[in-house]
Amino acid sequence: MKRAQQDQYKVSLSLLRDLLDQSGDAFIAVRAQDGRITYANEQACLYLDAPRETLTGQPIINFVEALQKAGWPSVVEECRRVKRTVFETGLANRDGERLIEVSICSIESGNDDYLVATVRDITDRKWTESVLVNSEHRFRILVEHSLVGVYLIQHGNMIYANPHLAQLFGYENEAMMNKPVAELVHPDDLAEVMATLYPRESEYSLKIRYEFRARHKNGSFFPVEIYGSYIDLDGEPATIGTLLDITERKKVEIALRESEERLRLTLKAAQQGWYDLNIKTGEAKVSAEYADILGYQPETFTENVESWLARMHPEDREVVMPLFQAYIEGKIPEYRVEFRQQTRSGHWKWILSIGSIVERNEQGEALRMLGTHRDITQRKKAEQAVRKLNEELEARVLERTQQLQAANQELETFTYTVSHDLKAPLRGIDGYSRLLQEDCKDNLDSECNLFIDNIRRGVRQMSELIEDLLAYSRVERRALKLVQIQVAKLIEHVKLEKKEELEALGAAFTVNLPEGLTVKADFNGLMMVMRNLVDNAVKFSRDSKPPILDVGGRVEGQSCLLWVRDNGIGFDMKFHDRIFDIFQHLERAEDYPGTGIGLTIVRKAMQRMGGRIWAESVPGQGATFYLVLPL
Amino acid sequence: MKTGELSRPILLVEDNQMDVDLTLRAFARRKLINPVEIARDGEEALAWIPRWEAGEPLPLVVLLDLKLPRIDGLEVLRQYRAARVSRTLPVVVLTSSKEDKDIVAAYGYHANSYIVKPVDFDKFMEVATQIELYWCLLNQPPR
Repeated sequence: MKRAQQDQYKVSLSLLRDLLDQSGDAFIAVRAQDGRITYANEQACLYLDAPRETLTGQPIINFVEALQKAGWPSVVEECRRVKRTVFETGLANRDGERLIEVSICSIESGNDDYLVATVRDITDRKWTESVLVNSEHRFRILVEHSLVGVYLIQHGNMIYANPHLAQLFGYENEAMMNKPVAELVHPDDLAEVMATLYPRESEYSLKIRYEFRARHKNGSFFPVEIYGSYIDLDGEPATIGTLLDITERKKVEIALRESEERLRLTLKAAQQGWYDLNIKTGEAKVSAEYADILGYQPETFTENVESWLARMHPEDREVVMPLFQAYIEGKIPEYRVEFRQQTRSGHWKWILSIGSIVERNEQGEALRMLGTHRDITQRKKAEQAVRKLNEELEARVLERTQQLQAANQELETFTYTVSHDLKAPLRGIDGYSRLLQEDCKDNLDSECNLFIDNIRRGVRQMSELIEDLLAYSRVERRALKLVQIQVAKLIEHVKLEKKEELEALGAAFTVNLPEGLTVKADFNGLMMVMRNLVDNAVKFSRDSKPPILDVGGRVEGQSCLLWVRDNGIGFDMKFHDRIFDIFQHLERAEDYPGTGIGLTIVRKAMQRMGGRIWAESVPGQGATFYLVLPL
Repeated sequence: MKTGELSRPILLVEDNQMDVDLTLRAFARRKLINPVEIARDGEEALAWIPRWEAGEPLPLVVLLDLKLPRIDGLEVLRQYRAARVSRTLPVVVLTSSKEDKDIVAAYGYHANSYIVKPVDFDKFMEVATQIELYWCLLNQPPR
């Protein structure tokens, strides 16, 4: 070998060594015959954890435990047989547990056989690989078990759909694969959906979010919401995303919208507006009706506390402002006020305002108040009208009462006059007629005596009339005392009073009353009623042979029915109502004398005691008078 | 009967001339010997109080109508009862009124009796007889 050649060879060898030392892989050459290391690069020194000087010439088995066990000759034999061995194994060095890939081949160089091992650290590669495997697995689990639909769509077809998505649409997982999207969308929403599947390039970065009606396998539709984005899949655009069944949310939304609509309509119908007041700034959001009530255009109307107060009637401001303040400061539990607001056209409207603090800060200061405004002008007008009417009515009642009192006073005066001043002259007429008859009897013939008798009869009638009129007016005016009265006792009393008259007529008087029957009545009133009815019965049955009077009674529900029956001349029922009217006579006065007031007194007394009276009769067959009184 | 009481009068307070006349005639028929003094209105009736206080004999009974000119009978009665001299004087209200109100008021002022004047002269005579018999003969008046 020439010197120049030798030099060049040395340089090449040195370069080669340097190159090998730069490699991340370890290279080790071992003589097959004795197992001693003939070369190790830098990386090999690191692996074997020894400087090159101590490595070279040393048996490899001193550094690799695994080789010790197997024994060097068998290692060599194995390598020669398979020519090249690659295996992975663990290695502990100062970097910790490493995973290495060892590649061993047998080569011949000159007279010797060598085993050359290349060792590569694959710890990082292995770790990355395992992470990839794991993460893909995790993601698959995540997607497969997700409770939202997950999809991948390309060219208008479903490339991937997770089981939940398939289930939402009612398909088997496999059936979803490559399904045209058109089959899964409501026809009316299809155009919109398809537009999102074929984006322009400029739209690739956009996120997709929209709702549409999905079509279930069974043909029904359900609302869904999409969150998606575009990806590049094998050089073609595709969309991936999630799909959510929003049926429930829609229901809630609809319910909420309906409820809001209802509230809006209710407020509108009730002529109510609402306000939402920021108490710190005094600014308020108000509804269209709020502005409407005040005559402003809702679109341009703005409201704040200042303008609200400016529109308020000064009288009301004095009342409302303290209440408003007190409520905001929490001093009163409720805010409910009525005030007048001047409308845009300058008229006054009555407003009922009800409000409630809905937000306070940590210090308890009111921040926000919600409330309603209601136009109560009509109600106020009605109230005023009612108040005015009431006042008028009261005044009228007072006036009438005074008139009545005056009338009553007049009646009393009249009664007094009747009883006193009318009776006195009668007494004079009667007295002097009598004196005339007695003192001048020698000068009077029988005709003169007849005249005087007739004068005195006239006086007697007049006197009776006055007495009955007084009795009637007394019945009207007297204070009643309603007590329990034993009917039998009262009748017995009347019967005793009439005893002589009844005996003279040879009349029969029977009483048929239940044991212990009582009624609630005024004693004098009922006495007068019975006396008059018995008088009446006696009078109109005096020609019967013999007159028969029957007084009876029975309990009927909560009332007592009493009757007075006679067998007298009776009357025609067409005159029924007239017999109770004042001064009414059905018979000639000379046949049946009377004032025509008796039954009127009876009816009046019954009315005042809360009872009723009526009569039943057939001419010639007697009459029965019925009384009903409370028990 | 004591002779002193025969001379004591009956005081008739009555505004109606006919009633006065008929009453006097009725008493005359009864041969009543007591004098009858007449007061024609409330004022005249009250004018008796100072005279009684001055020593004139008290009447055996006062027959008092209620409806009188100027001062009515109830007021006369009230003042009679207020005056020491006539506090115990027998007063019979003799009137046409049968009104509860009048009856209650009369007894409220301590009338000794209340009699309604009948229109019928025969009955009126009967009343006059009874009054005279009871108040002038049977009744023992206060001194």
